[in-house]
Amino acid sequence: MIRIATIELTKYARTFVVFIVIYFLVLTILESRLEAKAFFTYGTFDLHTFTVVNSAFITVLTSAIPLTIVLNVCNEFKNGYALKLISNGLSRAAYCSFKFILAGSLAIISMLLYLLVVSFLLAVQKATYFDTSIFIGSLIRTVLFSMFFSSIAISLALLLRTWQYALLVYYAYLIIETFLVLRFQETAPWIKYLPFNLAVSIFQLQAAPQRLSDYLLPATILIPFCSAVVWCCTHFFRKADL
Amino acid sequence: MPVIQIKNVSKRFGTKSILSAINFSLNRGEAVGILGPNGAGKTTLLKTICGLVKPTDGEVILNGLSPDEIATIFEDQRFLGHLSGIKNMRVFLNSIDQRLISLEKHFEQFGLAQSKHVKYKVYSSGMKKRMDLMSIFAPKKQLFLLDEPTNGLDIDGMIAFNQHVISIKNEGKSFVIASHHTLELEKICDSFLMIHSGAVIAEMSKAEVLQEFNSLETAYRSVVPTSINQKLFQR
Repeated sequence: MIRIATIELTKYARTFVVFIVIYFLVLTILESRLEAKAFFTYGTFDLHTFTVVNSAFITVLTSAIPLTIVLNVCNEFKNGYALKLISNGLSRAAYCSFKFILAGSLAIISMLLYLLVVSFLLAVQKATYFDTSIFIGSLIRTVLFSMFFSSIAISLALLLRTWQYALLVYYAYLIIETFLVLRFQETAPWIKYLPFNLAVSIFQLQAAPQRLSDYLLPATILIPFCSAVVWCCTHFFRKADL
Repeated sequence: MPVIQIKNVSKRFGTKSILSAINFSLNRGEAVGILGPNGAGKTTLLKTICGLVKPTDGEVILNGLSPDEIATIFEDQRFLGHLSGIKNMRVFLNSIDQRLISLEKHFEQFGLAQSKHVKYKVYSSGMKKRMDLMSIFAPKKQLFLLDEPTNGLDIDGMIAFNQHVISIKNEGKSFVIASHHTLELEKICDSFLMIHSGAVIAEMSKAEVLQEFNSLETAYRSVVPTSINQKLFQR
Protein backbone atom coordinates (compact mmCIF):
# COMPACT_ATOMS: atom_id res chain seq x y z
CA MET A 1 0.00 0.00 0.00
CA ILE A 2 2.88 2.38 0.78
CA ARG A 3 4.35 1.58 -2.65
CA ILE A 4 1.07 2.50 -4.35
CA ALA A 5 0.64 5.63 -2.23
CA THR A 6 4.15 6.71 -3.25
CA ILE A 7 3.39 6.09 -6.93
CA GLU A 8 0.11 8.00 -6.75
CA LEU A 9 1.60 10.93 -4.84
CA THR A 10 4.47 11.13 -7.35
CA LYS A 11 1.91 11.51 -10.13
CA TYR A 12 -0.25 13.87 -8.05
CA ALA A 13 2.47 16.36 -7.00
CA ARG A 14 2.37 18.93 -9.79
CA THR A 15 3.02 22.64 -9.81
CA PHE A 16 -0.63 23.64 -10.15
CA VAL A 17 -1.58 21.31 -7.28
CA VAL A 18 0.95 23.00 -4.98
CA PHE A 19 -0.33 26.44 -6.08
CA ILE A 20 -3.98 25.55 -5.44
CA VAL A 21 -3.26 24.05 -2.01
CA ILE A 22 -1.06 27.01 -0.96
CA TYR A 23 -3.73 29.44 -2.17
CA PHE A 24 -6.41 27.79 -0.03
CA LEU A 25 -4.06 27.55 2.97
CA VAL A 26 -3.28 31.27 2.74
CA LEU A 27 -7.03 31.99 2.57
CA THR A 28 -7.57 29.82 5.65
CA ILE A 29 -4.89 31.67 7.60
CA LEU A 30 -6.14 35.11 6.52
CA GLU A 31 -9.73 34.27 7.39
CA SER A 32 -8.67 32.87 10.75
CA ARG A 33 -6.62 36.01 11.42
CA LEU A 34 -9.65 38.21 10.70
CA GLU A 35 -12.31 36.14 12.46
CA ALA A 36 -10.55 34.65 15.49
CA LYS A 37 -10.63 37.85 17.51
CA ALA A 38 -10.64 36.16 20.93
CA PHE A 39 -7.46 34.27 20.12
CA PHE A 40 -5.62 37.28 18.75
CA THR A 41 -6.79 39.47 21.69
CA TYR A 42 -6.59 37.12 24.68
CA GLY A 43 -4.66 34.16 23.28
CA THR A 44 -7.46 31.68 24.00
CA PHE A 45 -7.51 28.86 21.46
CA ASP A 46 -10.93 27.59 22.56
CA LEU A 47 -14.06 26.21 20.89
CA HIS A 48 -14.81 29.53 19.19
CA THR A 49 -11.31 29.78 17.70
CA PHE A 50 -11.45 26.17 16.49
CA THR A 51 -14.88 26.87 14.92
CA VAL A 52 -13.36 29.81 13.03
CA VAL A 53 -10.26 27.87 11.93
CA ASN A 54 -12.29 24.81 10.92
CA SER A 55 -14.83 26.96 9.02
CA ALA A 56 -11.97 28.43 7.04
CA PHE A 57 -10.10 25.13 6.59
CA ILE A 58 -13.18 23.27 5.32
CA THR A 59 -12.59 24.85 1.87
CA VAL A 60 -9.34 22.86 1.65
CA LEU A 61 -11.33 19.65 2.16
CA THR A 62 -14.37 20.51 0.03
CA SER A 63 -12.66 22.45 -2.75
CA ALA A 64 -8.85 22.37 -2.96
CA ILE A 65 -8.25 18.63 -2.58
CA PRO A 66 -11.28 17.46 -4.67
CA LEU A 67 -10.42 20.02 -7.37
CA THR A 68 -6.83 18.81 -7.68
CA ILE A 69 -7.95 15.16 -7.56
CA VAL A 70 -10.47 15.65 -10.37
CA LEU A 71 -7.92 17.51 -12.51
CA ASN A 72 -5.29 14.82 -11.96
CA VAL A 73 -7.50 11.78 -12.52
CA CYS A 74 -9.21 13.27 -15.58
CA ASN A 75 -5.84 14.30 -16.99
CA GLU A 76 -4.76 10.63 -16.81
CA PHE A 77 -7.73 9.77 -19.01
CA LYS A 78 -7.27 12.74 -21.33
CA ASN A 79 -3.67 11.91 -22.24
CA GLY A 80 -4.40 8.18 -22.26
CA TYR A 81 -2.13 7.28 -19.33
CA ALA A 82 -4.90 5.54 -17.41
CA LEU A 83 -5.79 3.54 -20.52
CA LYS A 84 -2.12 2.68 -21.00
CA LEU A 85 -2.05 1.20 -17.50
CA ILE A 86 -5.33 -0.68 -17.93
CA SER A 87 -4.49 -2.07 -21.37
CA ASN A 88 -1.08 -3.18 -20.10
CA GLY A 89 -2.41 -5.39 -17.37
CA LEU A 90 -3.63 -3.22 -14.49
CA SER A 91 -7.20 -4.27 -13.78
CA ARG A 92 -9.88 -1.61 -13.61
CA ALA A 93 -10.61 -2.60 -10.01
CA ALA A 94 -6.92 -2.15 -9.14
CA TYR A 95 -6.89 1.23 -10.88
CA CYS A 96 -9.87 2.32 -8.76
CA SER A 97 -8.23 1.06 -5.58
CA PHE A 98 -5.04 2.99 -6.46
CA LYS A 99 -7.10 6.17 -6.59
CA PHE A 100 -8.77 5.48 -3.25
CA ILE A 101 -5.34 4.86 -1.74
CA LEU A 102 -4.46 8.31 -3.11
CA ALA A 103 -7.54 9.66 -1.29
CA GLY A 104 -6.28 8.03 1.93
CA SER A 105 -2.82 9.53 1.47
CA LEU A 106 -4.33 12.95 0.84
CA ALA A 107 -6.44 12.61 3.97
CA ILE A 108 -3.23 12.21 5.99
CA ILE A 109 -1.66 15.13 4.12
CA SER A 110 -4.79 17.21 4.89
CA MET A 111 -4.32 16.40 8.56
CA LEU A 112 -0.70 17.59 8.33
CA LEU A 113 -1.89 20.79 6.60
CA TYR A 114 -4.40 21.37 9.40
CA LEU A 115 -1.58 20.85 11.88
CA LEU A 116 0.49 23.34 9.90
CA VAL A 117 -2.26 25.99 10.01
CA VAL A 118 -2.78 25.61 13.76
CA SER A 119 1.00 25.60 14.36
CA PHE A 120 1.35 28.76 12.27
CA LEU A 121 -1.39 30.51 14.26
CA LEU A 122 0.25 29.44 17.50
CA ALA A 123 3.60 30.70 16.20
CA VAL A 124 2.28 34.19 15.43
CA GLN A 125 0.22 34.51 18.62
CA LYS A 126 1.20 33.04 21.96
CA ALA A 127 -1.69 30.99 23.35
CA THR A 128 -2.76 31.38 26.97
CA TYR A 129 -5.22 28.50 26.63
CA PHE A 130 -5.28 25.63 24.15
CA ASP A 131 -8.08 23.05 24.07
CA THR A 132 -6.20 19.84 23.24
CA SER A 133 -9.28 17.61 23.12
CA ILE A 134 -10.98 19.76 20.43
CA PHE A 135 -7.68 19.88 18.56
CA ILE A 136 -7.30 16.08 18.50
CA GLY A 137 -10.97 15.71 17.54
CA SER A 138 -10.47 18.17 14.67
CA LEU A 139 -7.39 16.29 13.44
CA ILE A 140 -9.39 13.05 13.31
CA ARG A 141 -12.31 14.79 11.59
CA THR A 142 -9.88 16.24 9.02
CA VAL A 143 -8.81 12.72 8.03
CA LEU A 144 -12.38 11.36 7.94
CA PHE A 145 -13.99 14.24 6.03
CA SER A 146 -11.06 14.56 3.64
CA MET A 147 -11.61 10.87 2.80
CA PHE A 148 -15.34 11.55 2.39
CA PHE A 149 -15.01 14.46 -0.03
CA SER A 150 -12.01 12.98 -1.88
CA SER A 151 -13.75 9.63 -2.40
CA ILE A 152 -16.75 11.37 -3.94
CA ALA A 153 -14.49 13.50 -6.18
CA ILE A 154 -12.54 10.41 -7.30
CA SER A 155 -15.73 8.49 -8.01
CA LEU A 156 -17.09 11.29 -10.18
CA ALA A 157 -13.77 11.63 -12.00
CA LEU A 158 -13.71 7.89 -12.73
CA LEU A 159 -17.28 7.89 -13.93
CA LEU A 160 -17.20 11.01 -16.10
CA ARG A 161 -13.47 11.09 -17.01
CA THR A 162 -13.73 14.70 -18.23
CA TRP A 163 -12.72 17.32 -15.68
CA GLN A 164 -15.29 19.87 -16.83
CA TYR A 165 -18.20 17.45 -16.29
CA ALA A 166 -16.80 16.03 -13.05
CA LEU A 167 -16.29 19.47 -11.51
CA LEU A 168 -19.65 20.66 -12.78
CA VAL A 169 -21.46 17.75 -11.13
CA TYR A 170 -19.44 18.02 -7.90
CA TYR A 171 -19.85 21.77 -7.44
CA ALA A 172 -23.44 21.83 -8.74
CA TYR A 173 -24.37 19.29 -6.06
CA LEU A 174 -22.47 21.25 -3.41
CA ILE A 175 -24.17 24.52 -4.40
CA ILE A 176 -27.66 23.01 -4.72
CA GLU A 177 -27.37 21.40 -1.31
CA THR A 178 -26.13 24.63 0.28
CA PHE A 179 -28.97 26.56 -1.37
CA LEU A 180 -31.58 24.05 -0.13
CA VAL A 181 -30.22 24.20 3.42
CA LEU A 182 -30.13 27.99 3.49
CA ARG A 183 -33.59 28.29 1.92
CA PHE A 184 -35.50 25.61 3.80
CA GLN A 185 -33.72 25.01 7.13
CA GLU A 186 -36.37 27.02 9.00
CA THR A 187 -39.37 25.18 7.57
CA ALA A 188 -37.80 21.74 7.15
CA PRO A 189 -35.18 21.11 9.88
CA TRP A 190 -34.36 17.64 8.49
CA ILE A 191 -32.72 19.33 5.50
CA LYS A 192 -29.59 20.02 7.53
CA TYR A 193 -28.96 16.27 7.44
CA LEU A 194 -28.17 16.38 3.72
CA PRO A 195 -24.75 14.70 3.48
CA PHE A 196 -22.43 17.53 2.39
CA ASN A 197 -24.04 20.04 4.75
CA LEU A 198 -23.94 17.55 7.61
CA ALA A 199 -20.25 16.80 7.01
CA VAL A 200 -19.38 20.50 6.79
CA SER A 201 -21.34 21.45 9.91
CA ILE A 202 -19.73 18.64 11.92
CA PHE A 203 -16.26 19.70 10.79
CA GLN A 204 -17.07 23.34 11.60
CA LEU A 205 -18.04 22.17 15.11
CA GLN A 206 -21.56 23.56 14.67
CA ALA A 207 -23.10 20.14 15.19
CA ALA A 208 -20.16 18.38 16.73
CA PRO A 209 -21.08 15.02 18.29
CA GLN A 210 -20.23 14.95 22.00
CA ARG A 211 -20.90 11.36 23.02
CA LEU A 212 -20.35 8.13 21.15
CA SER A 213 -24.07 7.77 20.48
CA ASP A 214 -24.08 11.20 18.80
CA TYR A 215 -21.91 9.76 16.04
CA LEU A 216 -24.56 7.23 15.09
CA LEU A 217 -26.85 9.50 13.04
CA PRO A 218 -24.09 11.20 11.00
CA ALA A 219 -22.49 7.81 10.41
CA THR A 220 -25.75 6.30 9.15
CA ILE A 221 -26.11 9.18 6.69
CA LEU A 222 -22.54 9.83 5.55
CA ILE A 223 -21.16 6.29 5.27
CA PRO A 224 -24.04 4.88 3.14
CA PHE A 225 -24.09 8.04 0.98
CA CYS A 226 -20.35 7.88 0.30
CA SER A 227 -20.44 4.09 -0.23
CA ALA A 228 -23.36 4.41 -2.67
CA VAL A 229 -21.60 7.09 -4.73
CA VAL A 230 -18.34 5.09 -4.77
CA TRP A 231 -20.09 1.82 -5.64
CA CYS A 232 -22.19 3.32 -8.46
CA CYS A 233 -19.29 5.17 -10.05
CA THR A 234 -16.78 2.31 -9.85
CA HIS A 235 -19.42 -0.18 -11.03
CA PHE A 236 -20.11 1.81 -14.19
CA PHE A 237 -16.40 2.54 -14.66
CA ARG A 238 -15.68 -1.20 -14.73
CA LYS A 239 -18.29 -1.73 -17.44
CA ALA A 240 -17.51 1.34 -19.57
CA ASP A 241 -15.77 1.47 -22.93
CA LEU A 242 -12.57 3.41 -22.34
CA MET B 1 -3.78 -24.23 -28.89
CA PRO B 2 -4.27 -20.60 -29.93
CA VAL B 3 -3.19 -17.86 -27.52
CA ILE B 4 -6.20 -15.76 -28.44
CA GLN B 5 -9.46 -16.60 -30.15
CA ILE B 6 -11.79 -13.91 -31.42
CA LYS B 7 -15.25 -15.36 -31.93
CA ASN B 8 -17.91 -13.36 -33.77
CA VAL B 9 -16.85 -10.11 -32.12
CA SER B 10 -19.07 -7.16 -32.99
CA LYS B 11 -19.06 -3.66 -31.64
CA ARG B 12 -21.62 -0.94 -32.09
CA PHE B 13 -21.50 2.60 -30.74
CA GLY B 14 -25.16 3.62 -30.74
CA THR B 15 -26.45 2.71 -34.18
CA LYS B 16 -23.00 2.83 -35.80
CA SER B 17 -21.42 -0.57 -36.33
CA ILE B 18 -17.64 -0.46 -35.84
CA LEU B 19 -16.86 -4.19 -35.91
CA SER B 20 -19.07 -6.89 -37.33
CA ALA B 21 -18.62 -10.59 -36.64
CA ILE B 22 -14.82 -10.69 -36.54
CA ASN B 23 -13.27 -14.16 -36.23
CA PHE B 24 -9.62 -15.08 -36.00
CA SER B 25 -7.15 -16.87 -33.79
CA LEU B 26 -3.46 -16.52 -33.09
CA ASN B 27 -0.97 -19.20 -32.05
CA ARG B 28 2.05 -18.87 -29.79
CA GLY B 29 5.07 -17.41 -31.54
CA GLU B 30 3.00 -16.00 -34.40
CA ALA B 31 2.43 -12.46 -35.58
CA VAL B 32 -0.64 -11.29 -37.42
CA GLY B 33 -0.74 -8.00 -39.27
CA ILE B 34 -3.98 -6.03 -39.50
CA LEU B 35 -4.44 -3.75 -42.47
CA GLY B 36 -7.26 -1.52 -43.49
CA PRO B 37 -8.09 2.06 -44.38
CA ASN B 38 -8.58 4.76 -41.73
CA GLY B 39 -11.71 4.11 -39.69
CA ALA B 40 -11.87 0.44 -40.67
CA GLY B 41 -11.92 -0.67 -37.02
CA LYS B 42 -8.30 -1.81 -36.49
CA THR B 43 -7.77 0.13 -33.26
CA THR B 44 -11.21 -0.82 -31.90
CA LEU B 45 -10.39 -4.48 -32.57
CA LEU B 46 -7.11 -4.20 -30.63
CA LYS B 47 -8.88 -2.33 -27.81
CA THR B 48 -11.50 -5.06 -27.68
CA ILE B 49 -8.83 -7.75 -27.37
CA CYS B 50 -7.14 -6.00 -24.44
CA GLY B 51 -10.45 -5.21 -22.72
CA LEU B 52 -10.57 -1.43 -23.07
CA VAL B 53 -13.67 -1.79 -25.24
CA LYS B 54 -16.38 -4.29 -24.38
CA PRO B 55 -17.74 -6.21 -27.40
CA THR B 56 -21.47 -5.84 -28.11
CA ASP B 57 -21.58 -9.47 -29.31
CA GLY B 58 -19.13 -12.35 -29.42
CA GLU B 59 -16.19 -13.08 -27.18
CA VAL B 60 -12.45 -12.72 -26.85
CA ILE B 61 -10.84 -15.84 -25.37
CA LEU B 62 -7.36 -15.54 -23.90
CA ASN B 63 -6.10 -19.11 -23.52
CA GLY B 64 -3.88 -19.37 -20.47
CA LEU B 65 -3.00 -15.70 -20.59
CA SER B 66 -3.61 -13.31 -17.74
CA PRO B 67 -4.29 -9.63 -18.57
CA ASP B 68 -0.91 -8.61 -17.13
CA GLU B 69 0.83 -10.72 -19.77
CA ILE B 70 -0.58 -8.45 -22.50
CA ALA B 71 1.41 -5.44 -23.69
CA THR B 72 -0.11 -2.73 -25.82
CA ILE B 73 0.81 0.41 -27.72
CA PHE B 74 -1.89 2.79 -28.89
CA GLU B 75 -1.45 6.11 -30.64
CA ASP B 76 -3.70 7.96 -28.17
CA GLN B 77 -1.95 6.76 -25.00
CA ARG B 78 0.85 8.83 -23.55
CA PHE B 79 3.01 8.96 -20.43
CA LEU B 80 2.75 11.81 -17.92
CA GLY B 81 4.21 15.04 -19.29
CA HIS B 82 5.34 16.49 -15.96
CA LEU B 83 7.60 13.53 -15.07
CA SER B 84 10.99 12.73 -16.60
CA GLY B 85 11.40 9.72 -18.90
CA ILE B 86 13.04 7.53 -16.28
CA LYS B 87 10.61 8.51 -13.51
CA ASN B 88 7.70 7.84 -15.86
CA MET B 89 9.07 4.40 -16.65
CA ARG B 90 9.60 3.53 -12.96
CA VAL B 91 6.11 4.69 -12.02
CA PHE B 92 4.51 2.89 -14.96
CA LEU B 93 6.28 -0.43 -14.45
CA ASN B 94 5.68 -0.32 -10.69
CA SER B 95 1.99 0.34 -11.29
CA ILE B 96 1.56 -2.67 -13.55
CA ASP B 97 3.83 -4.75 -11.33
CA GLN B 98 6.47 -5.38 -13.98
CA ARG B 99 10.22 -5.12 -13.71
CA LEU B 100 12.91 -4.18 -16.18
CA ILE B 101 16.18 -5.55 -14.86
CA SER B 102 18.19 -2.45 -15.62
CA LEU B 103 16.28 0.64 -16.60
CA GLU B 104 19.47 2.58 -17.36
CA LYS B 105 20.53 -0.13 -19.80
CA HIS B 106 17.14 -0.04 -21.52
CA PHE B 107 17.30 3.74 -21.92
CA GLU B 108 20.69 3.26 -23.54
CA GLN B 109 19.41 0.43 -25.74
CA PHE B 110 16.53 2.57 -26.99
CA GLY B 111 18.74 5.61 -27.59
CA LEU B 112 17.26 7.69 -24.78
CA ALA B 113 20.20 7.67 -22.36
CA GLN B 114 20.89 11.38 -22.89
CA SER B 115 17.31 12.43 -22.27
CA LYS B 116 16.20 10.08 -19.49
CA HIS B 117 16.06 12.96 -16.96
CA VAL B 118 14.27 15.30 -19.36
CA LYS B 119 10.54 15.86 -18.86
CA TYR B 120 8.43 13.63 -21.10
CA LYS B 121 6.40 16.59 -22.42
CA VAL B 122 9.47 17.95 -24.26
CA TYR B 123 10.24 14.61 -25.95
CA SER B 124 9.81 14.49 -29.74
CA SER B 125 7.18 12.12 -31.14
CA GLY B 126 9.91 9.65 -32.08
CA MET B 127 11.32 9.68 -28.56
CA LYS B 128 7.83 9.18 -27.15
CA LYS B 129 7.41 6.17 -29.43
CA ARG B 130 10.73 4.75 -28.21
CA MET B 131 9.47 5.13 -24.62
CA ASP B 132 6.30 3.24 -25.61
CA LEU B 133 8.35 0.44 -27.09
CA MET B 134 10.64 0.27 -24.06
CA SER B 135 7.66 -0.01 -21.72
CA ILE B 136 6.19 -3.07 -23.39
CA PHE B 137 9.29 -5.23 -23.61
CA ALA B 138 9.17 -6.27 -19.96
CA PRO B 139 10.01 -9.97 -19.48
CA LYS B 140 6.60 -11.17 -18.33
CA LYS B 141 4.69 -10.10 -21.46
CA GLN B 142 3.47 -12.82 -23.82
CA LEU B 143 1.03 -11.11 -26.19
CA PHE B 144 1.74 -7.78 -27.88
CA LEU B 145 -1.06 -5.66 -29.36
CA LEU B 146 0.57 -2.86 -31.28
CA ASP B 147 -1.29 -0.08 -33.05
CA GLU B 148 0.95 1.79 -35.48
CA PRO B 149 4.06 0.89 -33.46
CA THR B 150 6.58 2.55 -35.76
CA ASN B 151 4.80 5.82 -36.54
CA GLY B 152 7.25 8.62 -35.80
CA LEU B 153 10.26 6.30 -35.46
CA ASP B 154 13.38 7.06 -37.47
CA ILE B 155 15.00 4.46 -39.76
CA ASP B 156 17.34 3.15 -37.04
CA GLY B 157 14.42 2.84 -34.68
CA MET B 158 12.35 0.93 -37.23
CA ILE B 159 15.19 -1.49 -38.01
CA ALA B 160 15.82 -2.09 -34.29
CA PHE B 161 12.10 -2.59 -33.69
CA ASN B 162 11.81 -5.17 -36.48
CA GLN B 163 14.84 -7.09 -35.20
CA HIS B 164 13.57 -7.00 -31.64
CA VAL B 165 10.10 -8.24 -32.62
CA ILE B 166 11.51 -11.10 -34.69
CA SER B 167 13.85 -12.18 -31.89
CA ILE B 168 11.16 -12.24 -29.19
CA LYS B 169 8.69 -13.85 -31.58
CA ASN B 170 11.17 -16.70 -31.82
CA GLU B 171 10.95 -17.01 -28.01
CA GLY B 172 7.27 -17.93 -28.43
CA LYS B 173 5.65 -14.55 -27.92
CA SER B 174 2.75 -13.47 -30.10
CA PHE B 175 1.94 -10.22 -31.87
CA VAL B 176 -1.08 -8.49 -33.35
CA ILE B 177 0.14 -5.44 -35.25
CA ALA B 178 -2.08 -2.84 -36.92
CA SER B 179 -0.07 -0.76 -39.33
CA HIS B 180 -0.10 0.94 -42.71
CA HIS B 181 3.57 0.10 -43.31
CA THR B 182 3.19 -2.92 -45.59
CA LEU B 183 6.94 -3.52 -45.98
CA GLU B 184 7.42 -3.67 -42.23
CA LEU B 185 4.44 -6.00 -41.73
CA GLU B 186 5.71 -8.22 -44.54
CA LYS B 187 9.01 -8.68 -42.67
CA ILE B 188 7.50 -9.40 -39.26
CA CYS B 189 4.13 -11.10 -39.71
CA ASP B 190 3.16 -14.66 -40.54
CA SER B 191 -0.40 -13.88 -41.61
CA PHE B 192 -2.55 -10.89 -42.47
CA LEU B 193 -6.06 -9.74 -41.78
CA MET B 194 -7.57 -7.13 -44.06
CA ILE B 195 -10.40 -5.14 -42.55
CA HIS B 196 -12.84 -2.84 -44.26
CA SER B 197 -15.83 -1.11 -42.60
CA GLY B 198 -15.45 -3.28 -39.50
CA ALA B 199 -15.50 -6.61 -41.31
CA VAL B 200 -12.69 -8.98 -42.25
CA ILE B 201 -12.60 -9.05 -46.05
CA ALA B 202 -9.51 -11.22 -46.44
CA GLU B 203 -7.33 -13.44 -44.28
CA MET B 204 -4.17 -14.81 -45.83
CA SER B 205 -0.82 -16.24 -44.84
CA LYS B 206 2.49 -14.67 -45.79
CA ALA B 207 3.15 -17.51 -48.28
CA GLU B 208 -0.23 -16.90 -49.98
CA VAL B 209 0.44 -13.17 -50.22
CA LEU B 210 3.87 -13.65 -51.76
CA GLN B 211 2.72 -16.44 -54.10
CA GLU B 212 -0.45 -14.76 -55.40
CA PHE B 213 0.37 -11.05 -55.25
CA ASN B 214 4.15 -10.83 -54.95
CA SER B 215 3.94 -8.21 -52.19
CA LEU B 216 1.64 -7.21 -49.35
CA GLU B 217 1.03 -3.79 -50.87
CA THR B 218 -0.25 -5.37 -54.11
CA ALA B 219 -2.40 -7.75 -52.11
CA TYR B 220 -3.86 -4.86 -50.13
CA ARG B 221 -4.58 -2.82 -53.26
CA SER B 222 -6.24 -5.81 -54.91
CA VAL B 223 -8.41 -6.76 -51.96
CA VAL B 224 -9.32 -3.57 -50.09
CA PRO B 225 -11.56 -1.07 -51.90
CA THR B 226 -9.98 2.36 -52.01
CA SER B 227 -11.51 5.00 -49.79
CA ILE B 228 -9.80 7.87 -51.60
CA ASN B 229 -11.38 9.54 -54.61
CA GLN B 230 -8.37 9.30 -56.96
CA LYS B 231 -9.90 11.68 -59.47
CA LEU B 232 -9.63 14.55 -57.00
CA PHE B 233 -5.85 14.08 -56.93
CA GLN B 234 -5.41 14.03 -60.70
CA ARG B 235 -4.41 17.25 -62.45
